[in-house]
Amino acid sequence: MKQLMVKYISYYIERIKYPMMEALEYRADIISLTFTSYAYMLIQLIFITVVVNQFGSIGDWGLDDMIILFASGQFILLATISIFINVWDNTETDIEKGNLDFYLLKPINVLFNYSTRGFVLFQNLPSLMFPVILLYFARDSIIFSPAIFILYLVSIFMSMTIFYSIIVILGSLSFWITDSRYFKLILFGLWKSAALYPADIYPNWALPIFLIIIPIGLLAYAPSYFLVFGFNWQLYAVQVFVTIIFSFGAVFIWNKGIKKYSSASS
Amino acid sequence: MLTISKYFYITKLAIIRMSAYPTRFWGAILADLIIFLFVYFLWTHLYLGKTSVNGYTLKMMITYYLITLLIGSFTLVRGYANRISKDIKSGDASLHFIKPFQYKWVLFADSIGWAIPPFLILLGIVLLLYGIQFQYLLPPHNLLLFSLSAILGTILNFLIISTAGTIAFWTTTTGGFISLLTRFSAMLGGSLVPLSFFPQHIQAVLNYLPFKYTHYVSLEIYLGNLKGPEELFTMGIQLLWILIFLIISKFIWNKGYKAYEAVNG
Repeated sequence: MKQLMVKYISYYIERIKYPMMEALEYRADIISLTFTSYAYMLIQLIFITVVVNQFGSIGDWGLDDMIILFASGQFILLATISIFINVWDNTETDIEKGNLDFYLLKPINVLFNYSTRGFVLFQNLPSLMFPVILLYFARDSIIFSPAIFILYLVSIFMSMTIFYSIIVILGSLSFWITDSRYFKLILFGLWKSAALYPADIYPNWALPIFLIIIPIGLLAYAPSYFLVFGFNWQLYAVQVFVTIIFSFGAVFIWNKGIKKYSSASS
Repeated sequence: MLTISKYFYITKLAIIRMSAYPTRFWGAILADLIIFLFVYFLWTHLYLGKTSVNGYTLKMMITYYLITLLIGSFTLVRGYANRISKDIKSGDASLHFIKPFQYKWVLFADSIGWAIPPFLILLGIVLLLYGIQFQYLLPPHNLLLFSLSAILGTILNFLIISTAGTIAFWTTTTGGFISLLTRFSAMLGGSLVPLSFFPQHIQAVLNYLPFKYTHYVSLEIYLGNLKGPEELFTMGIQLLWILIFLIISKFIWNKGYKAYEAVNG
């Protein structure tokens, strides 16, 4: 087991070396990318500020709390997409065109191999700094305790796992449905809305939908809640449950799809 | 007449192309409706115990976003700038420049074509909501003036964004600047929140910028926040901005053509 883990980790390190060097070669692209994501984040931030200033709060969330929610959401989105850019950008096209042969022939887990190809975390580092800076500015709302900080990091990791699982599931739909890439468009629409607001705004009937069934509403909300209001075992249990279900669901659906896959050369 | 009809043909082609991608088409509409659903959740929650904020009741606010969804396909389109930049950088613009069309208006006609199918679907949804007497959808205060103002807003938005896109004639990397400008122009046009929610001093500045005349003023006419002479005066300002941007745009495009070196040329 230990030997297997070492093999996968060293394989992963080799994988990210080249994108890192490549990123440093294209500095203009990094600047452009940073501009784009800063513009988007700044505008959403203005929106949040204007609304909270008019109404005092959104549910129990004041301005600093909302900034933490927004920053956490942006971090989860950017970090997940940066690490798993291949899944985010190419899954549908690769399945439709039969380009998965390369991965199927290697003596390594196909989903791991596919997911770790492409890595743009270095290009996105300046963009990822923005949410971190926001967290610093909203620090008055943060509960400073080592336990809460660890809980926050664990919760962020679970949210990233859920988000990765969702994009694997959506990408895998291409094994059965052609032209399915626009499901991600819908997902992005969901993200742009759900990651901005706390669950306080949902009517009761919508809570299980956006926290469990399509758990986009949970991703930024859960870690931010822990950081601002402290531990809540119900919310934590929901997040653990959703993480497990979606992780296994993603692997299951991907493996089913791989069995159905027809390569370009077949 | 012939000159205009060839642009109509481009619009027609764009409609056909749009219809050929049903998943993209329905995906975009569904994404918009989902965003609207969350907007609905947000504002119904925020208005609990409140009747009016900044002159906006809950009904006005929900109507504001529904109509934004409807006319935003035209008044908030931002894709032209990137397309101009892409065509100039790749050299494909040369193909357009030698044709008996004005490239700028080809883009406009094309974008209108892409906007029409989702607009029609969303119009159907809005009409359905009227039909079932959805309590949060208010009727237009003046449909004719609202429609005219939305058309003027569409033209103005196009002129602003396409003029910004011409920066690609002189620079190699345009993505960041264009993204910044297009996103801010949409926000300052009132797509995220009514501009009356901004602090007074910012509103005062916005009065002297063209962005609010692309989108926001049409919604104000729809909701009846502008009445009688105010409506006509505002539309006059829209026309004035269009005229100003026609002149700026012509000047910059002419300069750009001179600076342009086709990659394949």
